[in-house]
Amino acid sequence: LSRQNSGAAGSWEFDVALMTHVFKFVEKLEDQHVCPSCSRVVLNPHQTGCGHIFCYQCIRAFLDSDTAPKCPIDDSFIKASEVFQDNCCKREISNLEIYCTNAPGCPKKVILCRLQDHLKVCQYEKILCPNSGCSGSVLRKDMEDHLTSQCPYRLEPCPHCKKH
Amino acid sequence: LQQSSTTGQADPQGYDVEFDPPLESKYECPICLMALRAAVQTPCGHRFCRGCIEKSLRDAGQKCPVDNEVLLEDQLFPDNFAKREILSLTVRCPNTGCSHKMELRHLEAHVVQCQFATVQCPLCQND
Ligand SMILES: [Zn+2]
Ligand SMILES: [Zn+2]
Ligand SMILES: [Zn+2]
Ligand SMILES: [Zn+2]
Ligand SMILES: [Zn+2]
Ligand SMILES: [Zn+2]
Ligand SMILES: [Zn+2]
Repeated sequence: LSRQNSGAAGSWEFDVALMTHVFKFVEKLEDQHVCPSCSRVVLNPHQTGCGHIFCYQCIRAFLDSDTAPKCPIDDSFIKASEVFQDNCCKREISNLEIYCTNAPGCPKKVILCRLQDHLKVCQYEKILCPNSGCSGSVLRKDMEDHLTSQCPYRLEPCPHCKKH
Repeated sequence: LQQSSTTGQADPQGYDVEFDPPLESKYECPICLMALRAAVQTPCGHRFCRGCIEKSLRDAGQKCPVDNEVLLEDQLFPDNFAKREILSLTVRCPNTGCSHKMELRHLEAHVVQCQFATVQCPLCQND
């Protein structure tokens, strides 16, 4: 792919989340947001000269595996020089609403590019106990209880001197 | 072929035609506010008519008019997805009296043979 496509426009951290989560979208996905190759929501959308939109990984696979790769939709040849990063499509997808990946516990809906921010405060996100030695992970909403009464590494007030 | 300013030809703007249902904003050119003609996309993810953005790059500098990102003419990609979508949208014939609706791609052919088109009278030279 040509060099000018390599720089992403802005930060698109949801790409990382896309790879590790399966999303439940609030509205049915439009066809143009589904990759015709892998049938998932398009990850890092790239558009071909024939005007079809695929995940970067999927189009990379076409280009690497075949000397004359063809578009699975219209059979036209895919030329690497005509492929570009479709940031318009990317922005549309990043603004689609999804259910929190911790549903059904968490009832929140967020737009895809805000998911990472939400997970930093989501009460149903599993987080690691901060006590050294404890390898336990609990839901954020249960952490306080874990720290005060469950954690085997918690500090208890000394019954003799009343200090920790 | 690229249209250049040296040809003296005006850069074509978007399609000035009535869409039914109305045109979605994502297919509207931010410069001419009409439906994208020969849609191109920038690396910052904005779409323009090729004619409109090339004129803007010449006259207003090498930046995207939407977000002021640096933009060079050779960074414009033909957005053939948007082009195909727009050409398949339904439009109304612009001629008064004609109720014909069709895909935008068929408008030109229709207007040529539309019964409601105004033509010059061959006898009196008036419309
Ligand atoms: Zn894919
Ligand atoms: Zn195709
Ligand atoms: Zn949540
Ligand atoms: Zn613990
Ligand atoms: Zn325009
Ligand atoms: Zn822009
Ligand atoms: Zn007509």
